Amino acid sequence: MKKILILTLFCLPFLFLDAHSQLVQAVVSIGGRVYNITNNQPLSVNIEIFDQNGQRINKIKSNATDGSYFITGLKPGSTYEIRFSDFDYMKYSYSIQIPATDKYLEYSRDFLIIPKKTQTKILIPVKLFETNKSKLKYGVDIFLADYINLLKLNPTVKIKIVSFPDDNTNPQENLALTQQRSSSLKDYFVSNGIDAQRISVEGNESTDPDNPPPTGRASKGKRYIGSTYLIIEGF
Amino acid sequence: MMFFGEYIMYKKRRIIYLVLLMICSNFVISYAQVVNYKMRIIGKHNDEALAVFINKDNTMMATGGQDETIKLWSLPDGKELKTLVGHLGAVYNVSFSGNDRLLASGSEDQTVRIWDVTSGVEMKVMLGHTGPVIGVYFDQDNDPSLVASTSFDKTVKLWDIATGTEVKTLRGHTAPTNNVAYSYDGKTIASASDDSTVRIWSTDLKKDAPLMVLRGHRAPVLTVLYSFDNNLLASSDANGEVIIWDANNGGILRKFKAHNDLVQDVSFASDNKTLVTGSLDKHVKLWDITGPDLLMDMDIGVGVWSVDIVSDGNIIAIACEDGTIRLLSKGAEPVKKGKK
Repeated sequence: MKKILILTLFCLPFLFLDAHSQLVQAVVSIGGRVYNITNNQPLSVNIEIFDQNGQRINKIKSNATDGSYFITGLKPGSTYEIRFSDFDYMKYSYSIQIPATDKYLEYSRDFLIIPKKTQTKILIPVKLFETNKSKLKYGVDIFLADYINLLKLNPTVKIKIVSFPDDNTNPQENLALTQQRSSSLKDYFVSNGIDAQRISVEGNESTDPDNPPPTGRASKGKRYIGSTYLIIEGF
Repeated sequence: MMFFGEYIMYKKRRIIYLVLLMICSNFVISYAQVVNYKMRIIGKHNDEALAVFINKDNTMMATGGQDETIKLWSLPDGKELKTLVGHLGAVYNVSFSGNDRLLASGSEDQTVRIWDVTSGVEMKVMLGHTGPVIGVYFDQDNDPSLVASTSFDKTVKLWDIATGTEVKTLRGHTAPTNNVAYSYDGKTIASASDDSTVRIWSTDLKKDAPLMVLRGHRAPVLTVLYSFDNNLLASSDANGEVIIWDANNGGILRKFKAHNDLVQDVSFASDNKTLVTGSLDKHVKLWDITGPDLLMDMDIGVGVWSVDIVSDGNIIAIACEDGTIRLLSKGAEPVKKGKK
C-alpha cells in the first residue's frame, strides 16, 4: 500500500506537467472561401493539407453553398501546403508558414480556382507594363509566382498569352507592341522553368473590348494600360 | 445751374460709383467667407492624387496617387520628403499607424503594403484580397499590430503586420467595400460599401458577424470615420450626403446634403465637432456638425478626392483630381458662420 502511495505521488507531477504541456500547445486554424476565378461563384472542391515532410494530414471539401472551408489542428512553427486537386479544376497549392506562438491563432485565405476547360480566360489583375512599353515592370515577380506555380503543377496545360494595347491610335504599332508584351511574359515564364512549347503568344491592334479604356468624365486624367490574359488552350 | 446733359452725366457717375461700391462690398463679403483659409499648392503627383492622411502629431502627411506612388510631406511647411515606389497600380488609400512609425497603403494591385516611415523601406507586401484594395486603416494603438482593409471583393480584412498574414475576413457587405476606419479605442472597425450601408465590426478575432448594420444612405457609401472620442461616426455618399451617427447605438444624429457631387472623404478635427468634407464638386467645406453649421466653403477649382485636417483645424490637406496636393492654412480673420 505504501509502495503504491509513493508511486502515485511520484507520478503525479509528471501527469500534471503533461496536462499542462497540452494546455499550452496552441492550435492554429485557417479558413476562408473558394471561388471559381471566371465567375466568382463559390466552389465545392477537395482540399488536402500536407505537412513539411510531404505527409497528408487532412482532407476536406469546401462548402457548396458559400465555398467556405476550415482547417484546424495546425501546429505553430510548422509549414503546411494546402493543395487543390479536384478533377474538374486546375491543380493549385498554397504554402503557409505558421509562426511559433503560444496563443490560439486563426488565419484567413480566399482562393480563386481555375476550371479545367479550354478557352478559360484568366485576366492578370495587375498592370505588368508601363504605358506603351513591353518590358515587365519591376516588382511583378510576386504576382507572377502564382502563375508559374500553377503551370508547374499542371504540366500538360498549354496556354496562350494575349495582350491588348493602351489606346487605339495606331493599329500596326499596337500589334507590334502587344506581341512584344506577350513575348516578354512568355520569356519570363520560360526563364522560370516553363517549357516554351507550352506557351503561344498573341497581340492585338485595338484595345480590350472586355476592359475598355474609360470614356467621358471617367477618363479625365486616367492612365489606361491594356489588359493581359492567359487563355487555356489545352491539357 | 446745371444743364440737363450735365445732370444726366452726374447721375450716371453716381450710379457707376454705386455699382462699383456694391461690387466691392460683395467681394469683401465673399472674401470674408473664405479668407480664414488660404490655399497653396505644395506639390504634385504625376496623375490624380487619390488619398491624403496626416499623422498623429501633425508633423507629416502621406499622399497616394494614380501614378502608383506614395509621397511623404512635412507639416506645416509642406515640403516633399520622400516618394515611396513599389505598388503596381493606383494607390487608393494610406494610413499612418498610431505611433506614426509605419504607413499602410492599399492599391489597385490588390495588395496592402506596410512601409517604414523613417527609411521609406517597404516592409511587407500582403496579398489576399481578390480585388483592388480601396481602403486601409491602421490600428491606432501606440504598439500597432493590425491593419484593416476593404476591397472591391466585398470583404473587410484584418492583417497581422508582424507576420504579414490575414487574420480575419469579415463578410456581409453585398457590394464592393469602399473604405474602412479603426476606432481610436481599437475595439471596433467601421466599413463603408456600395451596398449603401455602414457596418460596424468587432476587432475581437473570434467574432465574425457585424455588431451593427447602419442604414440611412440612399447611395453608395464612400467613406466612414470615427471621431477621436469614439462617440461619433461620419459617413459620406455618392449623392453628396453626410450622416453623423451615434457610434454607440447606430442612431442617426445628423443627415445633411453637404455637396452637389460625391463626397469621397471626410475628416474630424480633435474637437470632435468640426468636420471637413471634400467633393468632386470642387468644393472643400468645414462644418460644425452640432448644427450642422457651414463654417467655410472654398471653391478649389478642381475635384477633390481626399481631405484631412490637423488636430486644431489650422491646416486642411487636400488631394486633387489634377494631381496637386494643396494646403489650406487658417488666416488671422474670424470665421464667418452661416446656418446651413
